[in-house]
Amino acid sequence: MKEECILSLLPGKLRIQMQKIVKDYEKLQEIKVRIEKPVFYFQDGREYMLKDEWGRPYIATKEEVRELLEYVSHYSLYAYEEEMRQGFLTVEGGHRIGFAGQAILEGGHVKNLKYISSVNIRIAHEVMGCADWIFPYITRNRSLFHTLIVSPPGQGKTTLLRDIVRQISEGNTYISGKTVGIVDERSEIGGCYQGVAQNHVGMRTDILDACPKAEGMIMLIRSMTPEVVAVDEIGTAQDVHAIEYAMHCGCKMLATVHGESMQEVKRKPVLGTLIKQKRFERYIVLSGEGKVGEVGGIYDDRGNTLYSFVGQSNTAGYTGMAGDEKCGKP
Amino acid sequence: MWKAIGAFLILFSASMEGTRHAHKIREEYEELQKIRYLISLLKSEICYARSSLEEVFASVAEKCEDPYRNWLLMMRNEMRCKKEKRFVKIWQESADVCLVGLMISRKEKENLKEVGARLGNLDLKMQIRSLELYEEKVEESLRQIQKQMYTKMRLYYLMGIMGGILTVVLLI
Repeated sequence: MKEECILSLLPGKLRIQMQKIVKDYEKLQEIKVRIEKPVFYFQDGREYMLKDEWGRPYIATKEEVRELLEYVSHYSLYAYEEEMRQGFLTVEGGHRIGFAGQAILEGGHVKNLKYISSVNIRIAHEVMGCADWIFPYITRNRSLFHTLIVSPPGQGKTTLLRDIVRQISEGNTYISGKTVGIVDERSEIGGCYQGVAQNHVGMRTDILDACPKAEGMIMLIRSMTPEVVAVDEIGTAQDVHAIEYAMHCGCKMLATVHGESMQEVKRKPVLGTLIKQKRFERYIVLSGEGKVGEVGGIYDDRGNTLYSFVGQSNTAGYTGMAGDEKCGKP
Repeated sequence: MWKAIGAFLILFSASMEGTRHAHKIREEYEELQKIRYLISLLKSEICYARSSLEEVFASVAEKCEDPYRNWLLMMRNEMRCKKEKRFVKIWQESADVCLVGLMISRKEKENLKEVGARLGNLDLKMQIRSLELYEEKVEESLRQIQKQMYTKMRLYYLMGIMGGILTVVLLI
């Protein structure tokens, strides 16, 4: 299914070559296609150059990139104007297709892209059960703490968020099943296709797909009365205000943010204020140094370490910690 | 008596021929109206829902009758297959298969096929504008046909009957 989905995005000859060479699509992470340059793919954290049938580097042509664009946009680039402006779009399965080319500016802002010369296909992976051991740290008395996941790009925060959402929705030993509302601005959490989530997000989950986060959170709270609201990659002032609104309404928040460490996130202008006000009760920091998805530390709102991957020392970079409570994975 | 029967048959078939030509004009008019409706459906789906062409075709197909329904569904299926074909080719080849029996002139068929060359890759405004331009062309054709429709239809009826009478007279 995943193999079919990914291969269907590729132009004909490239598709055939990938089919011959790549066997395990569960380990495939990225495919990079550039005009007049070799095609690279990343599998299990390693880079490989795609070879053609004669063992030479497979060079992508302009025609192939054009064909790829037609396939990812269903022959309808006009329908993805907003996404093109951001430089990427999300396709069925939650895979992200990034573009590089010449920017078309209007009033100093990027309106669209033209002469696209590079395409990066980032493959989404659902890892069910990756959040199993985290629940003792983010719940108490079968209730969820407001939780923020901090991670550098590409380290699995969305995958972790998705699994947490799924388990909250379904219910588990630590938490009873709750109604979850997801504002899936980039269609990466649910991977919705024509309104239907392609990933497992739980039976009590409502998804507002392709909707700006701030607006979406308010819409969801008013229309679907979620007990938990989940959003990915917060950062703007509007996002933060919407989060505050959601918290005031009694919803538990589950969010992710880009960052290398808690110190870096604290320095962010608007989000830093939220953290200083101790609005979030739990912080999960993905390490970004080891394997994808590796949790570097879990902290409470005061900065106490509840879990640290590297040992007793407070090495996850969050200051003001009162003491250590190292907990191993259950 | 046989002459009378023969004369009647000739007159009848000549009149039918005239009627057939007259109905062709009416059918062309009705077919263009259906095409205009189809284009307005496509336009509003694209404009309102900003859906991809695949989704638009699937949605509009539900509101159309054959052969347009089959045409739209065929295009949708071709697009899903991703067989290294450009969109304009999919549009035109599907039109050649599904719309071959349409009662419109060759020029109108060519105009319809040309629309495919302007769809798909442009920005939203251009998409809508392309469809609007074609819609205007169809409106113009409808106006032209309507102006002359009744006159031409009467002419064909009369010519059918007169032709029949003339043939009977010549043969007798």
